[in-house]
Formats: sequence, structure tokens, C-alpha cells
Amino acid sequence: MSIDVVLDGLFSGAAYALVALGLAVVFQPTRIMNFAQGEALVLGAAVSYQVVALWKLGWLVALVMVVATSIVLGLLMERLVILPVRLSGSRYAWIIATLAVALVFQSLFTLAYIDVPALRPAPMIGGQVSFLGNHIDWQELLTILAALAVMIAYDLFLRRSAYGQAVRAASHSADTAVLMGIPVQRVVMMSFVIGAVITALAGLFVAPVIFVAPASGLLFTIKGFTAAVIGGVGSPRGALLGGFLVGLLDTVVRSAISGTAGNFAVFAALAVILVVFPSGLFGKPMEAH
Amino acid sequence: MTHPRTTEPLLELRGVSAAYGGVRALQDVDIVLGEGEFVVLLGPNGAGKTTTLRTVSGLLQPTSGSIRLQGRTITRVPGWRRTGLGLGHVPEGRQIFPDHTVEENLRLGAFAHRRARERTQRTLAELLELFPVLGERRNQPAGTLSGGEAQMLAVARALMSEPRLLMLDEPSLGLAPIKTAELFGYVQRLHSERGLAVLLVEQEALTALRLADRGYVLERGRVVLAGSAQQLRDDPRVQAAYLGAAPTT
Amino acid sequence: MLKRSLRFAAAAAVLVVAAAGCSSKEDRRTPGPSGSAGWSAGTDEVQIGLVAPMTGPFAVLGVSQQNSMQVVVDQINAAGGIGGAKVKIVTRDVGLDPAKAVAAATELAGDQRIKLVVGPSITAFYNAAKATYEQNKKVNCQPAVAGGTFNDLTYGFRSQDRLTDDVERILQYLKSKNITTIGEVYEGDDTGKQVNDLLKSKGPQYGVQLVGYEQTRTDDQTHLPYVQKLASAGAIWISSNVSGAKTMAAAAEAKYKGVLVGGSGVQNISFLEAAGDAAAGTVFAAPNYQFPIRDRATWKAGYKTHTEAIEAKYGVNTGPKTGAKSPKGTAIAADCVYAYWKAADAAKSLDSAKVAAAIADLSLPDTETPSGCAIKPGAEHEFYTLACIRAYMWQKDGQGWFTADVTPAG
Repeated sequence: MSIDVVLDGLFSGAAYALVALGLAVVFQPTRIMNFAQGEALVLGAAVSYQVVALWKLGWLVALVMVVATSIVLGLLMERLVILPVRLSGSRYAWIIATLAVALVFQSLFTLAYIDVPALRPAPMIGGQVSFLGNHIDWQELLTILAALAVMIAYDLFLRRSAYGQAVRAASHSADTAVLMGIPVQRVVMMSFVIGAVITALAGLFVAPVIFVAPASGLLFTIKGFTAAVIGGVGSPRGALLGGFLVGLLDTVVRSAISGTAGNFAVFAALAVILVVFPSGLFGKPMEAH
Repeated sequence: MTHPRTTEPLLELRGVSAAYGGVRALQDVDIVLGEGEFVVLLGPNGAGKTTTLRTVSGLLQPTSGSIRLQGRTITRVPGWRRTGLGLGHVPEGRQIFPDHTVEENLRLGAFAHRRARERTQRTLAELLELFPVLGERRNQPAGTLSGGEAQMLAVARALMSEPRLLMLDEPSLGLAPIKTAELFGYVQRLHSERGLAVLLVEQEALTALRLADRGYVLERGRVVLAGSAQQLRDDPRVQAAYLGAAPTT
Repeated sequence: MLKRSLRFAAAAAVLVVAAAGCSSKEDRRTPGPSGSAGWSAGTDEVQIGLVAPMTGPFAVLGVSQQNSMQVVVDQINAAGGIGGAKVKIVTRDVGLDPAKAVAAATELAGDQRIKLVVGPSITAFYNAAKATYEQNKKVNCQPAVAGGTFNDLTYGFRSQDRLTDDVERILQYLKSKNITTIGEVYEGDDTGKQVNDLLKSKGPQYGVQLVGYEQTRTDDQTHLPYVQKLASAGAIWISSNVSGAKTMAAAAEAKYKGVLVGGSGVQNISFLEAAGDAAAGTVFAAPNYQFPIRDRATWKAGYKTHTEAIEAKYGVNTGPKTGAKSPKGTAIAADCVYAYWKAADAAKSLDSAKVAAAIADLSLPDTETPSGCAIKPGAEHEFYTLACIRAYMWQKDGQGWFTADVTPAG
């Protein structure tokens, strides 16, 4: 095992962290674990593949397009998830609603890219950078930095801006937030949008390195979900830490022992962490709602 | 204080019915509250007192009837917009945001007026002066406050939007008697010094009737009795049901 | 009118025989009024069944098979049919649903108008269907069933490279390059394990030692850890599935010095699409696949005719990213129809037992067959022998992707 492996783990972790953050952003005001979150990552990868690899328009265009399409995706997801949940009245309607949305988008991506096994454009910055005598792809370094930047930006938004404060208030109690004059429905819609944009950005950054298949959204959701639970559901900082933990554990154990052992290690860690910290590393005990 | 001079009451509920799911919670409720008036809602648990406040705040849509605030019908106005229209609601159980600091809680109270920074700043300074204990704890997470302090915060937060009407839902619940007295002292001052109208839901009927101008008694979602505080105090039914159970002071 | 009642009688007879539990012999030599000229007089039409994914993610496979078969069918019909009977393809789209695949195979196996079935693809699906084929004495030909053996079947044939041949050809190539160690990065599935066994057992004959088998997972983001663990191996055998492209990318990232090798699946241009430039230099074993060899003069005659017919009728697949091309057909499926035609002609019969025996006895030269491979099934029921399995290397230049035949001489 070398530092290479650690860097590689951090890179995978960055992707998981951004999915976990997207999950946390939606979960905070809605208490909904959006199983369709990974589809936003696939969207990010698909749009950058389309723009960079096929249309050859460059990364700046890709960035703009990814943000624009993921805003639309977020709005769509909000309608597709929240409406049935409201109409159904069942406490568990969100499970079916989000899974259904995931399957719908998975099918759409599969149809759109039927012969494309991996949405893999060329890297934004090619080549590698030396680091303590090891090499890391520029793209991987960029992804790790982007994940950190997005995480810090969102954390600042939550803590410093009036709207961010409102999101936190709405996540504590929607009714009380309404009494403050906070448009909670709009906050929910915005959370879906922000979550989708963040996760789609992850897709944009990781697509040149890893293999994002059109139908792989749920795979990323599960990884992100694990990271979110380890870090503490709903906590952005927890999402970051959880993501890096899952990425590192998986990669390090996989290279030290074997592929199956990697997954085992991750879930074993999940079990241990949940025993010691029932609400995750950064989570707060959840009140009854 | 007697009936308001203005022709238009501040708050007017006419024939309001409401339900949770299929369960009737309010039936044909009429409540009127004048500018600067202090009104108390009495009644046993489950009578519909909290539901009345939630319906006024827009947390619950009435199934029929109308709600008017300062002459404007707000029945269909979404709840979050009502705060900016002069309505302050201190919900049951205080519901402060424990992860936000005291100051952040207060600023959230002014979310409807967040663009008017100077006004918010001024109101904040005034309230911190009025409630010195909150000034001391300004940068502390609200979750660390004691019960009495948290209730002060909840009231102050509701005042941040500079409401004309303050609705309080059982503010004395879980407070030591001395803290309750302190709290009602503040409410009394706000009412008499600033002319703030108050709609109070309270279990301690005796205290409540001492503060209030008028009162309504709710039972099973209906108004069964209405009158001045004096009339209610003297009513044998009220005495039997509420005042006897109230702690003697 | 007479024709109609005859047909009705024939259909009724088929029903009676089928109900009695034994399959009918379609070897009715009674001269019918249909006026067919050849030896199959009395049979208007020979139907060939295709059970394949025509929609969904693996539609490419089914469509390619259908296209290639259709080209041969057109050729047969132009030449007067099989013993005078026209040929028609009947397709059942089963996606990737095993239940549908088995149901479709059962349906076609029981249909007496169907003389040959191609499919279902994927070893597991075929394993579930082959007993039905045997019971119904249905001649069937499999261009996409890599695993298992066919020598125990009477009516089943394989028109695909055997994994053992792929492995032998690659080992031969490694020996010629003086490479003595090999690692494997593959799914932990049957094929991965079979490759592992073959490398272990056959490697020593070529002086190649297996040094490790890294089992991959579908949710692997990269194969870097696997490649790093096998960094010292002279060669790495990669998966024929998409995950093989992940290994290619990881090898490029890790600056792996050895050579990547694999089976016939690696000819798929989706590897180039997914791995990009990292695919260059990869060597794979496959039955004659000359399409990416630019000099068409070197193509086998039958292969050239077939492939150009596919190009003319259906066009080519073009990788949207790399521009790499592949024909919209798969010649080994064409071989199924071609071999059936030749065997039925030789037997002058449509009787399944006779045709099956005739297929086993076939010996068609590589210049004639659509695939460019000699067809000599024998008792093994394997169309192709090692001689036809070639080693190719993916390469790229200014004009795009191409392959070179790197099969060692002798």
C-alpha cells in the first residue's frame, strides 16, 4: 500500500461526500432520504460527457450546462417526490416515491446513452501532479478540492446567510419556521435544487476518472447513504467526514486484502460507529417528530 | 380597558371549523379581539384552544368560516405570510431553535422583515434591553437556556416581527411559579405600555383572568361561554371547572 | 381450396402427434401442390428462431445477430431457398429476463415450423433451455454462450470461441514475447473463475505463471488497487465486460508496464469508448475479426462479402466519442444459418436428427463462411478450432482505432 492508495481513497471519498451532502441537504428540511440523489451524479456525468466528449465545447460550457440541468432536475424531483408524499399521507410514502424517481431517471439515462458503458469525458486538466514522490491525477486532486470547497461554502451558507438560517430552522420544526415567516415549501424546493446541483457537480468532477454508467445512480446513492449515516444524517460536516471515511476504508482495505473485504470493512465500520455513536459521528439524537 | 374604539376589530373569527384528518377540532367558533385588547382562551385539554391559535396562524386550514386580521380576510393567506401582517405566535412548548444562538433565534423572528436591516437591528436592541437575560446569553446556543429563559426567548422572538397581536400558547407550562410571574409581568407591561393586543391560552385560569379584559371558554371545539374577565370569574361553571383546580395564590 | 384443406390436415396431424408426446418428423416427402422445386418440396417455408435481447441495454447483441442472420437468409432465398423452401427469421425479444428467455426457447422448441433456433444468449439462460431443445429434437446454434460444453448434446452447437482457445492463444502470444507472469483482474463470476483455472492449468505449458487473481466488484470506482497489486506481473488478463475498461484506465493511471490481454469480448468498441487511449496496446483473442484491420484485401473472402453486405444494408456502429467503428452484425451468428443451410443441403432433409448429424459432419473452408473461420464441428459440436482464434492488438493513430493481427506464427 502506498500514498497513492490513500489519495485514491480520498478521491472516491470526495465523490461519496458530495452525494452524502446532497442527501443531507434534502433530508434536513424534509426528513426524506432521497434515493434518487445518485441520479443527479449521473446527470452531471452525462451532461459533461455530452458537452465535452461529444460536442467538444469545453469544460466551462459543461459547468454551466450541468448547473442549469441539475436545477431543473432538482425542481422535477421535488414535484415527483413531495406531491405523492403529500397526497398519500403514509409516513413511508417517500421510500416508494424516491425509489420510483430513481428508476425513472435511470431508465431515461439508459435510453439516452444506450451503447455508452461509461460517461467518461477527457479530464479538465490532464496529467498528474507529484506529491511526496507519488503521483495523483490532476483531476483527482481537483475533485478533492472541489468537494472541500463545496462543503465549506454550504456550511457557510447554512450558518451565515439568513436563508441558510431559515433552512436550519425549517429542518428543526417546519411549523415553527412558518411562524417565523419562513416559506417552508420554498425552502424544501430550494433544498432539492441545491442538493441536485451539489451532487451533479460531483458527477462533473469524477466522470473523467471513474466509470459512471448511465444506470449506476443507485450505486452512488448507496455509497453516499452509507457515508451520510456514518457522518450523521443531515450534517454537512458529517457528510464530508463520512464520505472520506468510506472512500479511504474501502480503497485501503481493497488494496491490502481484496475487493469483497473492502465492502465488508465499510459496513463493519458502519455497524461499529452506529453502536458507539447511534446518530453518526456528527449527528444529533433525533427527536420524535 | 373596555371595548376598542376602532370600528374594525383586530382579529375576527367567524364560524370557523377545523379538523385534523377526519377528526373535528373546531366547530363554528366566533372570536373577536379588539385593538389593544387582552383576551384569554380557557378550556380543558383538547377543547381546541391550541387549534384556534394554529388556525389563526395558518398552520391549519379551516374547513369553513373566515378569519380577518385588521379588516383583511386572511383565511387563504399562507401561514408564512401572516407573520409579516402583524401576527406573533408563541407556540406551545416554546419551540425555540436549540442549535441557533439566542441572537439567531431572534433574527429568525424577523425573517419576514429581513430586508429592513435597520428596523431589525433597532427591534433587537430594544428587546435585548427589555429582556436583559437574553442580552447576556446573546451568543449562546438557545438549547443551553433554562426553561424560563427559553420562554422569554420565545416571546421576544415573536415580538421581533413587531406584531399587533401576540398569541401565547400556555407560556407558564413547566415553569416555576416565580418564573411564571416574571413572564406575565413582561406580558402585562407590553400590553399596557405598548398597547399590544394579547390572545392568551392558559391553564392557570385565575392568573389569566386577572390579566385579561375578556375571555372565551372552549369545550369540545365550541365556544360555550364568553364575557368579560369579571363575568367569567363570577360564573359558577368556570369556578367549578377551572378556578377550583387552579393553584391558590 | 385443396391447398387449404391439406394445410389444415397437416396442422391437425402435427397436433395429434405432439399431443401423443412424441415429436413429429417433418420429413414429409409427399409431393405437395405448393410447387416447390427442390428436395424440400411440400414445405413452403423454413423458419429460423432467434431468442435474444432486442431492446434494453443488450439490444446491440440481438440486433447484430438478427442483422447477420438476415443477410445470410437473403443470400439463401436468392439462391432458391433451402431445398426450395424459403427461409424466414422469427424473433423473440427477451431483454435480459431469464424467465422470458426460457419461455421463448420453449415456445420455439415446440413449434414444428421452426427448424433452427439461435439463442438464448448468456450461458445461464442457455443452460436452462438446452434440455427443452434436446427433448424437442430442436437443432440450435449458439453464438453467445461462452461457458459449458456441447459434446454431450445431440442438437446443440456452439458458433463461438471457447474460453480455452482464447486463453491458449493469449498464452502463446505471451510466450512469443517472453512474458512469464500473468495476473487476472476479473469479476468473481463463473467466467472469471474459469479463466483463473485455465491460466493456472495451461500457463505452465507456455512458461507463464499465474501470480494473482483480483476479484472485482460492480461498484468499484477504479481498479487502481488491483493493478497496483499486480504491478510486477508481465501481463494482466482483463474482463470481457465493462469492468475490463476500468482495468485499462487504472493500468494507464498506474503507468503499468506490462501488457493487458483478454478474451473476444474486448473486441467491442465500447471498451475504447469507456477507456479511451488507455485501451491502446491491449491484446485480445477472438475468432477471425478483421473489420478493424484497414487493409480489406487481407480479409477472408466470405467474411468480406458478409461484412460488406452488413455495412451496405445496416451500416456501422460508430463510437460517439472515439469514432471507432464496428459492423452492425456479428458474423458468428451468420455462421449458424449458413451451416444449417449447407448441412440441410447435404442431408437433403429437414429432419432434425439428420440435419444435426450433417452439421457435425460439416467441413466448410474459411474462405467461404461469413465469419472467415473454418466450420468443422465434429463430435465436440464446436464450430471453430484454435486455428481460427487469432490474437489482435488495439492500436490508434491519426486516423483512429484499428487492430493488428499479432498471432504468433506457427
